[in-house]
Amino acid sequence: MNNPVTARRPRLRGIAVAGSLVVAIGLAGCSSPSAAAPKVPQNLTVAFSQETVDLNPYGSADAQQGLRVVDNQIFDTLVTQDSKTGKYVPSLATKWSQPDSLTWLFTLRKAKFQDGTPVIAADVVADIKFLAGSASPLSSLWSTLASVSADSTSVVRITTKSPLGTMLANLSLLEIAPASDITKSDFGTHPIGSGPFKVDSFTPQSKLVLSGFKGYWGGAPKLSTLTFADIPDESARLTALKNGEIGLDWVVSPDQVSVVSGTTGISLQESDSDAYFFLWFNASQKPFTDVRVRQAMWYAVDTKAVTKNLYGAAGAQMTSPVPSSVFGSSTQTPYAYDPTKAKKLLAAAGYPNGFTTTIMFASDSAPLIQQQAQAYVSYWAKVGVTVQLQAQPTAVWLQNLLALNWQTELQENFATTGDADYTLGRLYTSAANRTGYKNPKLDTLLSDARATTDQSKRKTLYAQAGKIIWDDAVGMFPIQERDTYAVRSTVKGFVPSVTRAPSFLTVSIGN
Amino acid sequence: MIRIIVRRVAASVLVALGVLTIIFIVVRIVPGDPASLILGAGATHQQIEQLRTSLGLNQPLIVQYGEFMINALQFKFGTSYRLGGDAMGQVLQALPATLLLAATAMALVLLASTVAGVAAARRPGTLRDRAISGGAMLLQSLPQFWVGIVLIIVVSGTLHLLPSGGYGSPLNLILPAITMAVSFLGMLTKMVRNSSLEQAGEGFVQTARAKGMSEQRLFYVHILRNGLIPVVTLAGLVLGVFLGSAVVIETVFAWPGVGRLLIQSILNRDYPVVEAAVFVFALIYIGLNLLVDLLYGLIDPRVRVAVTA
Repeated sequence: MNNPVTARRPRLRGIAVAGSLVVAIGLAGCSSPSAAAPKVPQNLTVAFSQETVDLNPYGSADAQQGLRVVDNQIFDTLVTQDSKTGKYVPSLATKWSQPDSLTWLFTLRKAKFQDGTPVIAADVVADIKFLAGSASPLSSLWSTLASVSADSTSVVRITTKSPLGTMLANLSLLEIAPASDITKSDFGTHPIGSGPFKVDSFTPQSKLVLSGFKGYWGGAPKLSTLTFADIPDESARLTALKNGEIGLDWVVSPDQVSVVSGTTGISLQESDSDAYFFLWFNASQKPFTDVRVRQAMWYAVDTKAVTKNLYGAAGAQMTSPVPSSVFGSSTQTPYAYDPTKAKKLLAAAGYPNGFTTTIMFASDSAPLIQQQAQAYVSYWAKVGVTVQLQAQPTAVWLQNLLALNWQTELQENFATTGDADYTLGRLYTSAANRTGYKNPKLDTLLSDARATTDQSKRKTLYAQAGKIIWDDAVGMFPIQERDTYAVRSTVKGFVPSVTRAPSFLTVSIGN
Repeated sequence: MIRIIVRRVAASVLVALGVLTIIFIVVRIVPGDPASLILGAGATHQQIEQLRTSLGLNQPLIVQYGEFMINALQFKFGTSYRLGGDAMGQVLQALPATLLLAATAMALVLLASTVAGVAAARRPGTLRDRAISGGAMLLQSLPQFWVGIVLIIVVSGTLHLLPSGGYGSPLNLILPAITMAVSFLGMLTKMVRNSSLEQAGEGFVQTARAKGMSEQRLFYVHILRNGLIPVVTLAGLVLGVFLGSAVVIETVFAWPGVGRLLIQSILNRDYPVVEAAVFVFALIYIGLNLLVDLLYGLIDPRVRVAVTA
């Protein structure tokens, strides 16, 4: 690896440019109608709640939201998921076909990278090979890849060792870069893509400045520059929004919404999200080896009330082990709040007087996670189960989580691919052994669902798998999040996304 | 004098070696695995093991230590696990921002504390003195992150006078520099005041006064000059403490410095960056101490004599 530091422009000039940019944006934010020029400068600065450390779409940060959000502007993927219907629609690929269950053919559209070179099949081939051969988190999506080759400059042939039901979901996360660029040393700081915005400069911990790519195949974006400011502190971020230093802030924490709601010039947009909470029971340890105990824990909690009281509009009660926006979710029978039933189940399992256990979570890892854990603890106390809070730093929590060194565990999860395989298929198999729960029938359903390219059949299989996970209470699935975006009224045409990586192609600045 | 310098520098090198060893041990004692943090909660055990091997974390500790020391002495700390680039390069890239912030805060502290301290010392026991001393005490006890957030909300949010954070223009520098200066402002104001008053009771002051020197001249030429000697010592150390407080302030104000890099690297167990950043901080701290020691001898001839004797 190289040192991305050395190839920087002179610092003083950078400071001067950045300074004038901040002032310009500040002025643009508070310009009065009388001063309104016929053309408003199309510069937008936004802030996402998670930091971007690296832009390399095949690097160790490739599954992090901070990277996906910005790479979605710089790069294209072959297909994208339509956030309304959940279907995969053409992007760089105009059409695709499956000559047999192991082979996929993708036809590319005429598109250009930001350096002017055309996007050809050889680029896609190199990218897939590179990611599949890397050690990055998303490389595991490609473990069944057999070969990838170019039939012509515009047709890509992908074959797999076994049928891959998640092919389109996987491709919707595969950013396409020029074959010659991906091994360059500055790929992580100054990559080239074929997306609507190209990288002007990237200063980690400070900002990423993008400019509109006029040669974009989908039409030039309306914005001339799009800057991602890295502001780690949420109250500072909201102040920056109120001041007009930034035009958009997401995701706003549920307990911070009141800080901006009702502010003149700022509107709040809510969106479904692929983020959700689950609470796992360690089924390899007593008393959670007994399904009745796990179910009792769920019946003992009024998840509806917890969702409403803590998260309000920022949360919804879950009806499936994956968020409803994810492919493969299916509505299950809810566990109604019933402490009497919980006590009966506990007594039947041999714990008429309850027991003592712990709940582990990573402190500050998600909005209101501590309060949520506390709410469960007080509900469980009512049925005689004493639960101690174990708030841990993320590093420690993760180590304990992977070692199954916990009894119950609360965490926020994100369905990155928008497909149930990414969460159910990875986390609930006996081989993965993440919760101590092992069920050969579930294993078969999950592996069949991955190895079927018939999407309606996959849906049925995930519905069956989801029912087992839900009814056996492998975990409790209380809340799926709804994300709040705080938008200045000068920002026009913005639409949130369940992936948290919205498109800025049609966004513009008005008065 | 040269012998003293040589001895001090030799001692500093030993301290630096000690620091390297301590960082190496401490980052590895703290629970948490860099590989699983990089890959996230969804990674398989196999992926994690593969990454641990490629990061060299599966080697025996003593081998890791030997490699670390050999490389560190050449200023090489390896590749950042989290950011990809050269670890020392990342630290050096963030360093100017931190030094700019610390130097500005230092200038603020020295200027304001001298003015306030003198104002208090010239009229000891008066209402003015008590107000300044009381204010100094108050400032000293305010937690920095709180001062930072209050400044953002009031100065930036309510009054719209300054940007809430970020880096680039001199306007961005004001709030974080004030936040960094605040608690030490109280400390140094009291120092200037007390040490000036102490000097005022010395024999040479009475002699000068007996010879008919004006009170004004007496204060600024004799009392304050001597009174500032301990302040120099303290100021050198405060500059070191500033680097520590940068961790909090840079996060609150989105300031792209080493402090913020360090805290993120610690949370993510990015060993190479933590090691490089702590080493750089340690070198600065050692350098400052050395400088203060030598400066002290230059300013105050009595110290020089005492050390050589």
